[in-house]
Amino acid sequence: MTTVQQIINALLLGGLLALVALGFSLVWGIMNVINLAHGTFIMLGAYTAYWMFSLWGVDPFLSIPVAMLLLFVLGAILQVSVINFIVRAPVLATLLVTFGLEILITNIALKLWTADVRSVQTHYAGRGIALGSLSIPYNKLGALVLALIITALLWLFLERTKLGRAIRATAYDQVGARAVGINIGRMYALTFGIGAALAGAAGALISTTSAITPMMGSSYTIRAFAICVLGGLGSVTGALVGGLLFGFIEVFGVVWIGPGYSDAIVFLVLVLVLIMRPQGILGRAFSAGVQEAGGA
Amino acid sequence: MKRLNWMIVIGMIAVMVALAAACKSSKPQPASTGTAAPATSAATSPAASFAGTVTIGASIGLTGSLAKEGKLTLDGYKFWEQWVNSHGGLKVGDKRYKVDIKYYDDQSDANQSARLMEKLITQDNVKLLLGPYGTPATLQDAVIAERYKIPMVEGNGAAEAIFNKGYKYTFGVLSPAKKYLQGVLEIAQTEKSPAAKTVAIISDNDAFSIEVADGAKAFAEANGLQVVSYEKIPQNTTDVSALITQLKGKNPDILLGSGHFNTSVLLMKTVKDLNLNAKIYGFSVGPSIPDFQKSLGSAADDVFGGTQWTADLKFQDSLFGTAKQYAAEFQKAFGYEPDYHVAESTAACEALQLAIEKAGSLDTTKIRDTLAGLDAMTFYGQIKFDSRGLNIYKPMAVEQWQKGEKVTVWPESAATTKAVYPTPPWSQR
Amino acid sequence: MTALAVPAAVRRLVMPAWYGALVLACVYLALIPTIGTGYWVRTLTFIFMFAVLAAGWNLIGGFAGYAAFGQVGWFGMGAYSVAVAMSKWHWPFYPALALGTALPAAAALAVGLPVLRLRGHYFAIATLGIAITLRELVNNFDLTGAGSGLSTPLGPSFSYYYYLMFGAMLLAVAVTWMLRRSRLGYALLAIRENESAAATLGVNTTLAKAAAFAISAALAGLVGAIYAYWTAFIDPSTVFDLTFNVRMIVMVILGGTGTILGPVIGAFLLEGISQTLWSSFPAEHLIFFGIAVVLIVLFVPAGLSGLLLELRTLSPRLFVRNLLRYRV
Repeated sequence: MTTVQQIINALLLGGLLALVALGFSLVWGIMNVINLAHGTFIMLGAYTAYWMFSLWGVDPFLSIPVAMLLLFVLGAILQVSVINFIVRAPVLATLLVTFGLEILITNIALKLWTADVRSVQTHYAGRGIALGSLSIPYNKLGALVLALIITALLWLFLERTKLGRAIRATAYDQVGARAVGINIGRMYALTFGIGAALAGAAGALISTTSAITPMMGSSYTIRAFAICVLGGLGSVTGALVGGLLFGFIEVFGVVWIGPGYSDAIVFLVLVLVLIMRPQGILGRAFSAGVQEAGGA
Repeated sequence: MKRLNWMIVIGMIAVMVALAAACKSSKPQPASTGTAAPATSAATSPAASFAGTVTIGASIGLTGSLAKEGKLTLDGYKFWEQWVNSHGGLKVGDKRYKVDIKYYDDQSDANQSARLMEKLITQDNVKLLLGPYGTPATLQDAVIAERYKIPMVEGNGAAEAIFNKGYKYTFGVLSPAKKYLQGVLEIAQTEKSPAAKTVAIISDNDAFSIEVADGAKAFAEANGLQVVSYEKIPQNTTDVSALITQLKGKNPDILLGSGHFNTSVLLMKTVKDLNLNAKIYGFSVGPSIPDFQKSLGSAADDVFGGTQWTADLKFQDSLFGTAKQYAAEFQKAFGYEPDYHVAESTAACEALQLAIEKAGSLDTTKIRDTLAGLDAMTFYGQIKFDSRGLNIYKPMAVEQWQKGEKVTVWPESAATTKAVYPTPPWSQR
Repeated sequence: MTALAVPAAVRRLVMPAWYGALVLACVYLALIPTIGTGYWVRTLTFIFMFAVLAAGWNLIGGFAGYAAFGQVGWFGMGAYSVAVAMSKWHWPFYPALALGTALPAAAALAVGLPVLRLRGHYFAIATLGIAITLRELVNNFDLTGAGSGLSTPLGPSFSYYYYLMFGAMLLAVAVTWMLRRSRLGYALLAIRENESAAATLGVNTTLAKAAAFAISAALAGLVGAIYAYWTAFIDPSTVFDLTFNVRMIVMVILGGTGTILGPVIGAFLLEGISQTLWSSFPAEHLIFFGIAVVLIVLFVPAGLSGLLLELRTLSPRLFVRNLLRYRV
């Protein structure tokens, strides 16, 4: 029974983490930008849900669209005003600029909302489905389901719509995309906006289970990193597989070795995957970034 | 084209500033971060009669990860400053001095804290120091105090690691970390129906939390309790379901959490989610902070928390009166109820004050020697240092949340009501 | 890249003055512990430490063009080597210092061989992953005191560490200077410009990269080792502070990537900027620091040395050109 519960724990954790990494993976895959400010978008999404809940009593699940919209706008603005200028610069420039944004956004949040730990206390918090000795909390189950729905929607958008194909085209072949009249800068703004919106959704979902502080973001950025590498960069399914894998490593690391080593295992696996199979466990679906010649 | 790009960048900054301003005006600040107000009590002595000013230095994290606790520390210091200045000042011999606390923000960074301590000593010529918030910063600052032979009284670094290095100039007014959870275990000892026999301990992985957990483990084992699990969890953990699921199999009677606020809240949430039923839940840091109840709602009920101080304790002094009076005066001045972080910070100031007044001198060596021999009762409890500079004489207390209210349940002399035991299973709540 | 082709006439005129200024600066810095306050001694010790970290990063990131993002791992390894050797095995400081320098170098050599096959983002992430793995191992081993950290004995005066760090900084500059003129240095530059061409021309690229990585790790380990003795207490979150990675890179960029003195100048500049921001805006300085990082990368990507090289044509146009260079 314990093992079944642990599998459930791993799925609940992994599904949410997949959404955490999805936007990060998209931005990386399409634009070859590692967005170190990704975690702050998650933080902002969580605060959106928190304020909507505490000011107007809006359920955090219902504030997801608002969080996504706000973060989309912020992401698009940041892309147009800052990141479009360094998309083609060497890898370091993007790392540093997005890290600068991370410091900036975190500290603005700290200034506005203080370091107080917030949390959203819904009436169904702590309740769940009980099957014998198994427990599935409603909020985590809801988060998993919504994470999967949003992931599926993103997949449909990228695969089935004209706009989605245009976005993917910019990743495959910039010159070709430009030739058929795609405005690359605008596509990038859209992509980064979507990436931020996905982070916002993840943040709103996280607000139902975890504490909210201005500093919460960076640990999610690091996890998004690991998930993208584990699952394979820049594909929707890769993020999903990576997230689930991450969930299983964390949970069964605790079961078999103890809680202390879970991060050590994750990052050791990450390094090994990079060395042996840089394209991740699943290949790449819409990425152009794998053979890029980086360097400073 | 060029101009356009400039405008985009400037526009971006303007938008961010505007957003910031808009958010600030529309979103309410939480009640727990009250702003400083001038001391309310009538001044008994006009400022003009002060013989001079005694400057005391401190570096506190007002931004960064410890900003919340840093603010509580600073308010505790500031309250003392206002109180002393409006009550005749600091008495040195037959002269009276105004006190001035000069502080810098160390960004919750121990390196920065050490640097600022050195700035206070060598550039601002401060001769007396108050501690920063937290064990890591205190560990680094103690080195500075020692090097410059400047006494530092601190109330926010409880790890014995600070005091086991033979330093002569660092004094901690708070009880050592290992005692934080002992009170909870003592309560468990007195309850017999049904008796609690097994303990599971979960600790954050840092110096302070580990000392708390080790202390609890040693105490439990010495008192015939069986420790069925002792695990350290990594920093920034956001999910402990796997660990709690493992614990559920061991069915502990007592679940102790030694960590920081976030960890305590996360553990309680997960315990409820996964329906783990213990007879006692006890935490070192968390339950004493009002946000604990706000974050958990009814799940906070019946949870025990070890605490350095509560307003229910029957201690008093001539400066503030009883613990209760201290709490009331603080609330009047700062607009929120003081928790133990505030009280221990004020107590650090008071210890320094008592030593200066007893020494009758502002000579740092004399003050240090007087501190070493100090034995005084305060609103915070007895302050007396062992040979390492640690206050091992002050007892700790235990609080419990009962129906949304935080009450003191241990020691018996301070208990306002009886502890709820055993905690009912989640299915009956 | 910043070409080193300064006109010969300018060189003849400027260089003696430049060297003279450097010598004067060194003499002045050497006197600081006797004439300055303890605060300045500590602040400068810190700047020296970062200058060495930046100089170490410059070897692998600036010369070879490999964006290492986990140098703090070697820093932490050096710090823990000293702390374990001194507090657990009761070694004297100098052997411990040697260990703290050699161990990261050896480890970097060992992991460098496979990891340096990765490029760009992948190399950056792998090095970050290694740093986090190291931190987590330290967090769990009893030998390293786990999360509690380790105390080192209280050493001599603070000026002692000042001179140690100062010496480390001079060493780092000397190493960079020698490397720049060595076969290895040319090999690294060739790798940065075009790795496969370099390999075709007979450069042993694997060896050159691994050597540069090991030297950079040794420098990071060296200052980590001094740091552990200096602060008398270390724990995983302070010595594996991931923001150190970013700070050292910003310093190199600010001073000039791939130059000899750039990292040192960058360390002074960035610390100067942060201290100024800190004292003028105590509550908001990190907000401005974030903005500063973004603006530096956008407008002066070639750093101070880039600006100096274009001194004659210095105008707002240069910044706009920098901004627009990589625009989509």
